[in-house]
Amino acid sequence: MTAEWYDLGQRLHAAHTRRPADRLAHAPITAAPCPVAVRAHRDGDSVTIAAAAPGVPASTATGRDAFELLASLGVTLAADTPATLVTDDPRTLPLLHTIALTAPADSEHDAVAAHIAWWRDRADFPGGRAVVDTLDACRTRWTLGEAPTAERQPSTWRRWLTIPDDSTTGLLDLHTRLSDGEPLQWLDVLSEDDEWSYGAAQSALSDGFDWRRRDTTTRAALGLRSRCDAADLYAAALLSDPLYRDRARHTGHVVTGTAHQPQPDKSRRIDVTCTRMDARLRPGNTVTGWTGTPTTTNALPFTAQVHTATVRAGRLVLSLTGTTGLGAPPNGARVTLMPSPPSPSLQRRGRSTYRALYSARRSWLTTGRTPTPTRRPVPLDVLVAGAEPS
Amino acid sequence: MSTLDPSLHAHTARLLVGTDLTPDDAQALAASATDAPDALGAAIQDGWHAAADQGSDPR
Repeated sequence: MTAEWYDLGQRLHAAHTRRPADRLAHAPITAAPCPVAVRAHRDGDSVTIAAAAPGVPASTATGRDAFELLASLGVTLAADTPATLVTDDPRTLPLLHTIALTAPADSEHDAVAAHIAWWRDRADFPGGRAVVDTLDACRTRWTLGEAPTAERQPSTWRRWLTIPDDSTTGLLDLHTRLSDGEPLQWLDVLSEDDEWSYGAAQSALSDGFDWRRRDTTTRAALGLRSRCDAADLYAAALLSDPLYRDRARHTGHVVTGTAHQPQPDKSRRIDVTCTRMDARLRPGNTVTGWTGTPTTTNALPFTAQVHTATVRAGRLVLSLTGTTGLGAPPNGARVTLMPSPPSPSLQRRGRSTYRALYSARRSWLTTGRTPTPTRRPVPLDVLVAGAEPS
Repeated sequence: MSTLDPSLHAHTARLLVGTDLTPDDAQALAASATDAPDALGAAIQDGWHAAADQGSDPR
């Protein structure tokens, strides 16, 4: 893998020009209708927050006064539109959750507390619009001419992006910069899922469901499934970006090579002799390919399955079968391959079936019968989020 | 004397451990119009060129 050296090239260029180098040609987040920038910090036993919204100057509040401040900025499940939490401090959401837990059920602050709980629930859905960690989003969008450790400091980003205001109002300016431009493909789908879950949270609150209760087995299982789907779709969204694909050659997620049809008259098999040995594509993977380079954006695509992966004369050769689509490459063409993206509609249908199985009386999920095991890889981000202490 | 910020200089030096290159060599290699002979140099040039293509810098 040579991604670190690729990143180094970008860093050196950024240092040379004193401008951030783009890692994406698209915006990694979508514009939000109701962004609320918040930072929280603990001082002894009390938690103080600073918050701002567009057109509303930054204010601070401590302890339970935070509920009034957040409600005045639209952070309440009583609002028609969900608020987007914009923050650059990973401690903020856990501290907000601490405040939320102080609101008694059915109290006047419960709608605000439940909105914070909704943020917490959606925070580990990548690419969503409920919670935006600006540090993560900045690192996804740009590389700076500094060491990676400096990119963990919000002040570094403000300096490079010439945002002098270090208050939460400046955080909103950074959010605007991050969402500037055409967003990545499928971010709209991920935002729709956020909207749907917001509606579900509103219904749960009005039906008297207490968000403090532990998840039921059904809810926990559906939550894991939804998070896996979101992580898969976000990974595909990143690969839809030509600049991201250019770097992904160096991680093995995108493969380039030369196409060869061993029996053009008899079968649609295509052998791709890869430029590098470190491809992550494996037999059984469904791939999308096209004639051209990773940054080509206007080529007709084809899809196929990796049948075998072998090494011939020191070169990795992927044999593709079941080729469909108009863009099947001619002999000798330079091609690019990457994992085929998941279908959002199939993902939703799958979740719907899963939900139905959990509510059907005779399903193995509800009867306790031993099911036929099926396994799937769980994205690393989902595992890490699940392992984090609550 | 290197023009790199000290922390980026140290980071670059760490990434070049085991090679004959210095951070200044890497910077010159990245900006070079001549294709690098090895994987390390090619990857650095790829990153540099990807960044340059987004701006108005000629390769």
